[in-house]
Parts: sequence; C-alpha cells; structure tokens
Amino acid sequence: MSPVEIGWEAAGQRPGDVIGAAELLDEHLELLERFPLVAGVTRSIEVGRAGRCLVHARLPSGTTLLASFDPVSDRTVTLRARPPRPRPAEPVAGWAAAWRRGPDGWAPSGDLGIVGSEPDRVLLEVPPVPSGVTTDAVRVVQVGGGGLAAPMAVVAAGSVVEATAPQAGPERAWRLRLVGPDATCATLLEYAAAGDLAAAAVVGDELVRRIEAQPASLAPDLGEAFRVVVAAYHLLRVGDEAPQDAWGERLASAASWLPDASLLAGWLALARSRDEPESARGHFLDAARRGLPVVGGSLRLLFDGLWLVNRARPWDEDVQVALARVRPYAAAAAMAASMTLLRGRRPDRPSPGPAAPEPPGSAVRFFLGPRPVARRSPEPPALDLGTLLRDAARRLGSTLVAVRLVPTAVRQTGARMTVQAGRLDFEPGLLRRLGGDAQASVARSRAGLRVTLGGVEPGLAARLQVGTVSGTGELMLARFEPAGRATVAVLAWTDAGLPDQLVLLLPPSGPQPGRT
Amino acid sequence: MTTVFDRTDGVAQTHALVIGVGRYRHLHGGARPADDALARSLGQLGSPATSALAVARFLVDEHVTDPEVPLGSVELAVSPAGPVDAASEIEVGGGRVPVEPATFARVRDAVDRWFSRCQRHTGNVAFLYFSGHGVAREHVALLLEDFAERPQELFEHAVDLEALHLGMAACRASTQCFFVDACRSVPPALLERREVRARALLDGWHRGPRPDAPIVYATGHDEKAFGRPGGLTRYADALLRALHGLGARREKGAWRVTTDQVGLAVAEVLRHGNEVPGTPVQHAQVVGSGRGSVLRVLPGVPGVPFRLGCDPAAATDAASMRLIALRDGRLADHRDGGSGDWLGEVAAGAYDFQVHFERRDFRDGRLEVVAYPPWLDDLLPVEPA
Amino acid sequence: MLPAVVPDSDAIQILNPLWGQHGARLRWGHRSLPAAEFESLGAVEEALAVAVASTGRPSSAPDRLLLETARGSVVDAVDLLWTAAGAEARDGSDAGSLAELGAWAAAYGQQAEAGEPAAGERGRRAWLAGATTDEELVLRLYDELVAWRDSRPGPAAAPASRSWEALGAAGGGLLDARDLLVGGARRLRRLLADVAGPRLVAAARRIAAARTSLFLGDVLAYLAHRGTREQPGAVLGEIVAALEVANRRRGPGEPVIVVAHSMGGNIVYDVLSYFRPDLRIDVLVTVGSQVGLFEELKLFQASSEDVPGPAAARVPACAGLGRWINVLDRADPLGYATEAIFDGVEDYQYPTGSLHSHSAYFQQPNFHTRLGRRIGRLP
Repeated sequence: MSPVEIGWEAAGQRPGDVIGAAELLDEHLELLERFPLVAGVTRSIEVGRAGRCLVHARLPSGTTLLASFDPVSDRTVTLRARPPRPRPAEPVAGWAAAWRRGPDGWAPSGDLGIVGSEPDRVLLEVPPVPSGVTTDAVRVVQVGGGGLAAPMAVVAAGSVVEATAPQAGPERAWRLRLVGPDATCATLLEYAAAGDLAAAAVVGDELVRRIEAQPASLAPDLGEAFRVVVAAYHLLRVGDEAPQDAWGERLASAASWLPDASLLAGWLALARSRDEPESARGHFLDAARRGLPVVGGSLRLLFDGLWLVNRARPWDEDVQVALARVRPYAAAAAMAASMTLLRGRRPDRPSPGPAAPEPPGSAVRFFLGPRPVARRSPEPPALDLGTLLRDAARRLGSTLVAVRLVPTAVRQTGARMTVQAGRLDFEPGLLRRLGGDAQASVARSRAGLRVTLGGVEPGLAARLQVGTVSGTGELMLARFEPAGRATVAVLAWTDAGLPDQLVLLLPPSGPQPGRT
Repeated sequence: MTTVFDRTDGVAQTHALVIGVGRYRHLHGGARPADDALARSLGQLGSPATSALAVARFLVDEHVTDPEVPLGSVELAVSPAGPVDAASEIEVGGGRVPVEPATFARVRDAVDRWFSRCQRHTGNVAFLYFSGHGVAREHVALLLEDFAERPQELFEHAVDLEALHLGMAACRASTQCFFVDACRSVPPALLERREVRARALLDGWHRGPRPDAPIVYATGHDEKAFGRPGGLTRYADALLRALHGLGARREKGAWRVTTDQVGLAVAEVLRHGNEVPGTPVQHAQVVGSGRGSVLRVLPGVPGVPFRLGCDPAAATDAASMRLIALRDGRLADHRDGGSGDWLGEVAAGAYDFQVHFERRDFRDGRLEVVAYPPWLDDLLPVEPA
Repeated sequence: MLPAVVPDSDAIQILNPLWGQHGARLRWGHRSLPAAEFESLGAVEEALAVAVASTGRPSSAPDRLLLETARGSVVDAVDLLWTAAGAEARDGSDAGSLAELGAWAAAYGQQAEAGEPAAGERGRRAWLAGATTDEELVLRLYDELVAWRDSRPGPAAAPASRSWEALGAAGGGLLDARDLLVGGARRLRRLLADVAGPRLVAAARRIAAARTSLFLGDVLAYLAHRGTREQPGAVLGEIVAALEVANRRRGPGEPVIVVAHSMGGNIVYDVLSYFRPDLRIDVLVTVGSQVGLFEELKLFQASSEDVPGPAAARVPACAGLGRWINVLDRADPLGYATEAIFDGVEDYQYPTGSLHSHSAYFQQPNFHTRLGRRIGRLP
C-alpha cells in the first residue's frame, strides 16, 4: 500500500514548528502510531492494513484536528480543524509589566511590547537580550487588571506570552500561556501543563531528536539554551536514566543563560549516581544562586533537589541558606502552567493568596472586549445625575436606538491606538425606518463630534437627533441641520477618540405606549 | 491491621494504599480540639471516607481479575466523620471486613507493608489514594485523624506527600500512581512558621531506573478541592470515571488505562464539571512522569461522554440530532428537541452526527465525529435555510 | 448572610431574578468612559474608595483607619472591615466563612451597643485598646469573637446548608474568615497609602460616574423598552415572573418579602402600581432606590399629573402592597426619599458613619440586623 500524506491548514504557523501531537487510529480506534504535527510539512504514513483509519489530534489551544480516510484509495488527507467552544469576551481593562533583575533587585523594565491582540487575548513580547550578554536572560511578565490577582510569569528574554482575559463566573482569572518564540517548546510545555503527557512525549521526542542531530555547541545563544533546557526536562520526565554525556555538556553550556540548566544537571546527576545526593549539590546551589528557573514545574524541582541534599547533609549551611531563599518562591508558585508562575505583588515578594497590585508606572495598558484597543487614560469626570434624568424624561416621546460605530480610521503609535473616524452601522430595522440608502459617518472636528447623515429624506432627517454619553457621564444630544447637501449634527464631545456607541432618537411613529 | 485484601504473590500486581480521613479528633468539632489557630480553622469532613471506600470497592470488585496487573493487596484506613468509635466496613469476597481508622501509627505501618509488597516485583503497580484535609506550603501535608495531637509538634501526624513520592522512588515497583484528593491551600498561619515538618515516612533514595510515578493532584497549588458531605469528592468521582475508561487508549486489541492518560482524563472530567452552575471550580494538576505504563485493562469498550450542538446555538434547540455508528450504521443515540447542548454518553468509536430541522429554519447537516476518551465536544455549523 | 443570621433559613425560599442581560449593556464595556477608573483602581477598590472617602477620614494613617473608626463605633468599623474583606473572598466557601463570622460580629456588636454588664464593657475596651494597627485590631477582634462565640449557645451557623465542603483550610472553620479580614485590613491600608487624601475623593467621584453611566443606561433601556400591560418588556417580564412564583408559593401565614435595590425598586413599584396591581407583597424594602425621584419626574406608567393636587397630596398606596420601607443613606447619591411623595411608606435613614457606597449595603452585617429589627414582627 502506498503511503498517505497527512496535512492540514497551518495559518499563522512558522514552517518547521511542532504544533501538536497526533494519533493514527484504525476503525476500532486502535492506536497505530503517534507522530508530531510539523507546520508546513505533510506527514507520510504507511498503513499496512485495510479498513478506514482516523487521524486525531488535540492541540494545546483546545482545537481538535480530525480526518478519516481509506488507506487503499486516499493518497492525501487534510485534517479539519475544530476550534474549541468560543468563550464570551468580557470587556476588561488590563495591564502588563515586565520586570528585570538588576544589581539592586527586581525593578520594572518598561520594555514590554504588545505584538498582537484579539478580542479576548493579547500577545506580549519581552525584548531579547542584546548579543553577548548572558546574565540578564530571565525576566518576569506580570499581567493584571479588572481587580483580579496579577500572576507573574518567569520567562526567558525574547519570549512571547499570551494573556487571556478573565471569563465571567467563578473562573475569573488571567491566564498566561507561553507561545514563543520557540513554538515547539511552547507546545511541549503546554501539553505537559495540561496533563496530556502522551502528547508531550511525542513532541519531546521530536525536540530531542532535532537537538541531537546537531553537535553540542559550546556557546549556544539563548534560544538554543532554552531548547536544550526544555528537552532536558522532557528527558528527565520520561526517565531516560542514562542520557548521553553530551547532554551534560549541553546543559553546562546553557547554564550561563538559564538556572534551569544547572537545576537539570543536578537531577541528571542524581539519576546517574547511585550514591547519596552530594554529587548534585553543586548544581543545585548554582541554580539557586543564578535565580528563578523558567520552565513550568522547575521551581518545585529546585526546592526538592535542595531538600534532598539537605536531608542527606543536614549540617550543610550553604544548602540551608539556598533553601531559605527558594522556600518563599516554592510556596507562592502556581505550578500548573508551562512557565514558572508566581503569585504576589512583585517578583521579589512572592506570596500565595490573591494579590491585586497596582501596575508599575511603566506598565502597558490594554483593553480587551469585542474590539481591543490599547489606550491612555485622560482626566476624571464630574457628575450631574439630575440633568441626565431630566433630559431623558423630556425626550422619552422618541424611540431610542443604539447604533454601533465602526471605526474607519485608526491611528496607531506604538502600543496605542486612537480612533479618528468611523461610520454608523445601521441594522435592517433601522434602515427600514430611515430609508434603505441611509448612511452616516462620524469624525472629530474642532467643534466636537461631527455626525454626517446622508440618504435620508430631509423632512425626516430634521426630526432626528443623535446623542451619546460622554466620559463625564453627561448625555449629549444634537439635532440634525442641513449643511449643503448633507445633514449634520455636532455633539459637544471633548474626550479623546470616538465613542463606540451613539444613540439615535427617532420621532414617534404611530401611537406611543400609554403613559397614564 | 489495615490490610483488607491480600493475595500477594510473585507476579506483577497492583498494590493499593487507600486512605480516607473525615474524622479529625483535634480539629474544630472533634473530640478534643487542639489549642492552635490552624487546627481551629479546620473541621470534620463528610466526603473523604465515602470516597476512599468507593475507590477501595472499585479495586476489590473490578480489578482483581485484571489480565496484566491484577489486584494483589489493599491497605485501607478510613476515619469516617462522627464519634470516635464509628467504624467502617467493606465487603470483600462475600464477607464484611472491618476497616481501621487512619491514625498516623496505622498509616505508617500500612505504608511499610505496602512498600514491601511493591518491592517484590518490578512489574508491580503501586497505587496510592488519599482523601482528607491537605495544607500546603512547599510540599503538601496530608493530615491524618490524630493530626494536631500535640500542638508543640503540629505536623507529627501528617504525611509529606512529595517526600513520600521521592522516597518511593527507591521502591522497585516501576509504576507508581499517587492520587491526592485534598486541598493545597497555603494558610497564612503556615507561612509564619519556620518549618513545616510533616513526616516523610520513607527515607530512601532512588537507585537505578526511576519509576513511572505521576502525581495527580485534585487541585492546583494554593487551591481547594471539594466534596459533597456524605457523598463523593469531585476528584474521586473523576478518578473512578477515569479508571473505568476515560483514561484509556486502545492498544494491542484492548482498551488500557495508562499513566499518561489517567491524569488528563481526571483533569477533563473536572474541567467539564466546572461548567455546571453551582459547582465549585477545581482544576486537577499532573506532575511527574507518565510514560504509558498500564494501570488497568478494560473488559470492554469505554463509554465516552459527549456534548454536541449546533453553531449558532439557537439552532440546537430546534434540531433533531442523531448519532449513527459509522462502523455498522446503528443508531447509537438521538435527541428530538430539547434545550441547550445535547449531553450524553456513547461507546468509543467514530460516528456520523446528523442534524435535522423539522421546521426548516436551518439546513440539515452532518459531521463525522469521534467519541474518543476522555470527551467528545463538538459543534456543527449550520446555515439558515 | 441570611442563613447565618436567621435560624431555620432552610424553610425560607429565596428567589433572585436577574435582569442584567436585558438592561443596559455598554457594549464596549464602559469604553465611553475614560479608562482611568478601571486602570488605577480595581473594580473592588471602587467601593472601598467611596466608603473610605465618605468616612471623612481619608487623612488617617493608612494602617489606623479601622482603629479610629472603632473608637467612635465598633459597629461602623465592623461594617467597613467586612466591606473590605468581602473583596478578598475568592469563592462561595470564602464568602460563607466571612458571612458566618459576620453574623457573630453583628450579634456581638449589637450586644455591645445595647450595653453589656460592666465587665463585658471593660473587656471590650481592653482588647480594643491594646491594638496599635488595623491588622492587630482584626486579629484581636477575631480572637474576641471566637471566644465570645464559644462561650454562649447561639444561632448555629448552618454548615449543613452548604452543599460543598473544602478538603482543607476552609472546612467549616473560621480561620479563612480571619485571613480574609486581615486581607481586608491590608486592602484598606493599601488604598489609603496608594491613593491619598484628595485623590481619594476624586476617585470616589470618578467611580460614581462609572457606576452612574451604566445605571443611566439601565434607566433609559428600561424606560424605552418597558412595554405595555399587554406586552410587557423583557425586564418587566423577569421581575413579574419572579413575583408570580413568590405569590404562588406563598403558604399559610408565610409573608412575601421583596428586597429591591436601586433600579429594582423603581421597577417593582411600576409593577405594583400599573402592570400587575393584582400581585400581593407583604413587605417591600427598597434600598438605595429612586422611586421618589421617578415619581417627581412622572416616569411611572401610573404617574398622574394630578398628584400632588387638590384631590390628593400624595400618591395613594398600591393595593397589593402591605408595608413599604425605603432605606436610604445621605451619602448615597442614588438614594432618594419617599415619605413626602407616597402614602404608606416609611423612610429609614440608615444610621450612618456613612460607611458604604451604593452597592455595599448588603455586605454589611449590621445592615441586615438593623433591617431585620426594623421589619420587626410581621402582621
């Protein structure tokens, strides 16, 4: 039987990245083979039997890939992606900050960037280290807002972290996920964090294979060091009890970048040695000295390693000191994540329990919801409830229709986006009342917000009003007046940007609901 | 003795240590409450005893005849909530056997017996299940019935789970599963202590090949685990479902629950349960290895729970839905009208999910789906007519 | 808090109609407001900022606000502390612990106010006097409450009515509540330290604006989509349905009590006065509502331009309404008085240290106790 080519649509994935692990099943769901899914590369499968087969994969994002085929007649198979159930995007204002460890301790570094966003998530990037510098490779990314706890993720410089907005209900919490720059490592770590150890093993084996295909470099860059570290975690977990000496060398070279490397060297030393844990002592002390390890679960490994050495050598003061330093971190770590995740207000003050700290001044702000916009914060408003209600009461003879404003011009500077102009989105019911050609655009002008209405019969247009609620909480309304061939209303809008929603007041048509 | 089942012999077997603590003598509501802030903050529990007995019963009823790692022994210690002399019983082999309470001394002796039985064959599976109070700092302390007997040495009668796990690495049993059904919250009172010294019970250090030894925690670090007083804990329910089949894959002609699937199955059951309104949220966490060692061979094909519906959601209520087994065209299940997603359970396999709209407000549709453990969750996109 | 305060609460059925999904949805989540409110103060700190600002003591040392409040009134300090601690609660079992301890705190406070024997009085002052910071106050208060509870039989907290137990810290005990209270005290301290003095007052105004724009939206949405008697709108529909269920389930000698907050009070009045005058409510409690204002603006369906007039000085009572208590607090900008406008209503000025914002009424142990006493014995 000829081989079958398995492929799938890999939008937005970098060719060569391992994005998941798949299983080949026969018609009884018997597992025939497990294999990694590599972006941009079809997998060639030899099925030595007749009968329908299935390929099934669950990606860490929750997307399922599935296809069935007949190995006799089908030559190519395309996996169909089924995304996970959509989560309602709760509007929330968030912030994110990067921290850096300097000679005086941890301080906000102010260099975190937003590299992408969707209605319910934002992608944050920690800038890479300049070349030649190895001591500053570990950073902390903290995300908070919405009055919720602000988790801190310990990551290698250059990492891309995805922060997902808190859902409504009892699960309200910020979720952080490692997505880059090395997608293969991220896939492996995400599988492990989710408990899908079988899939993690598939990806881990592939990662190990790729690393071992190259000779060990004496001076790896940070990306290579990170890959080595993640692969070594995999080897440790699957219990390869005698990894080649080359791994010891690889870890030694990576240690100048990441504390994980020393930590893993310690555990591999323990695995090899049949003696008491003294042999690993030096590695664990080195790891503790270098700082926080980045891979999820590593903090517990560091603590346990020191704990074992301490038990074997209770007189060893260096180990006790190291344990005392690591202890508060181990107590504050949330472990079920692909990265080391800490709770607390600052990286140097970890503590369990919810902490919703104020964002550091250099934090970048973002807004998630149906359409995310990152923005600055203008001045606080005053308040006039009576005016509002009196205005509302006077106008209640009209019909109020809320109209969505769709931005048509947006200016972006760095991480900030301001809406400059938009058009009003009329729903079919409203178009029926205004006339099928009705359209309206909105733009800022010196006088305020200029709403230009076209395609509406002038008699009707003159009886329309448009309004919005300003940042100060005031309801502002304006009538449409003829201006040349168009009809224009100007709202006394002074806030930055544009409102997302306007209200159209339509004159009564027909009998109103009885009022007395 | 806490041994309720013992057919140990020289072949590869499963040796279980099952502990459930609901009665705490020295905590709030106990016979002699201790004068300690932490002890005063914890009370009696209604679900661990029931849960531990359910797990033990599962092993005794359904795992004795397993073809690969049949049940060899069960050490069972259960302290049911209630007066000090309240005791449990378990039915084994047609007779009722008394179950001893989970005091520290008894659990320590049980661990010794469990360890030595596990040592006898490298193919053995060491199975540990604990349900009861847990408090964490760097390690999780599992609290036994006489915890806080002496406030001066508060954790004298508590077990350090991670230390036990590390110590078990010295045991020759190459497969070890640790099912921890307890909270892992870090009470601020613990942070103020210099040391939290729960008992490791095992001193050894691993020699030679490291075992396949995952820990499946009921919840994340500094989070809580929940149960229904008098009923099962959420985790025990998830674990039993995982062992019954949701943690299985089919290999070499039979469905097998393995160490690399069982944790995922427990996590998925809890995750789906979290979405039921009124259920306290809990997320399992799997730590350590999971290399695919076999825990159990299923006697048949597992049932897989499913959640199916249409996209848009409004179409789901209007739809008549059917699941047709692809292999033989048999109608496996159907729903004609209902509200919300279609929930049910169906035997593992490939199915044709067919959707028909009587009122013709949407176009009929179909989708090939696979009921693959632990869960089938899919939406069929439909178009308006 | 009801189960902890009222014995036999299992016999009481509580219906909680929610109509938020029909009300104002600022579809882009307050984007029409500057983001400052949400960025520099979490949603929780909002309520606290207003609460603290209205004590008139924002210049206290950050870690002594509770102490100074307690010197004036222990009861007020308890209310403020519980408002802050309520924000720390992470889940239902946390809230339950807090509520349970809150019930004891309220009972303890009431006893202290009512004047215990001299020994108790001295004892009370003693534990208070020894504290130098808010955190110490909380710890001493906790120990004092536990000791007081252990020394007397009293309303049993109802753990049996909680259907889930936690296998760890929180299992039926109160230490979680203590931790939450300490957390609350810390939260207050952070708030005062981070947002000092005038900024706090400005913050309070900003927050009021945010709340109000959504509230306004609710008002507009309700008024626009209220519907008619024949075809009531969605919001009305929900409320009417719940009231119907309550009426149906009414057993012999069982009163129907409706507690309505803010806009809810306005809607219930509309229902009773116009849409469903056939429904019977024995006691209506409106909290922080604007029923009086709405009537002045003649916004109710039943509002008549003839009142006030020669025929009637005040709006006559609704046929189906038994007793009506309107709770308001001067410090709440969204609460309005009713006695001068309607017949048959009692305004109840919430005795203030002014320690709550528009939404914090229900978190405070003493609110419930006082309201309970006010309702008193039902006919």
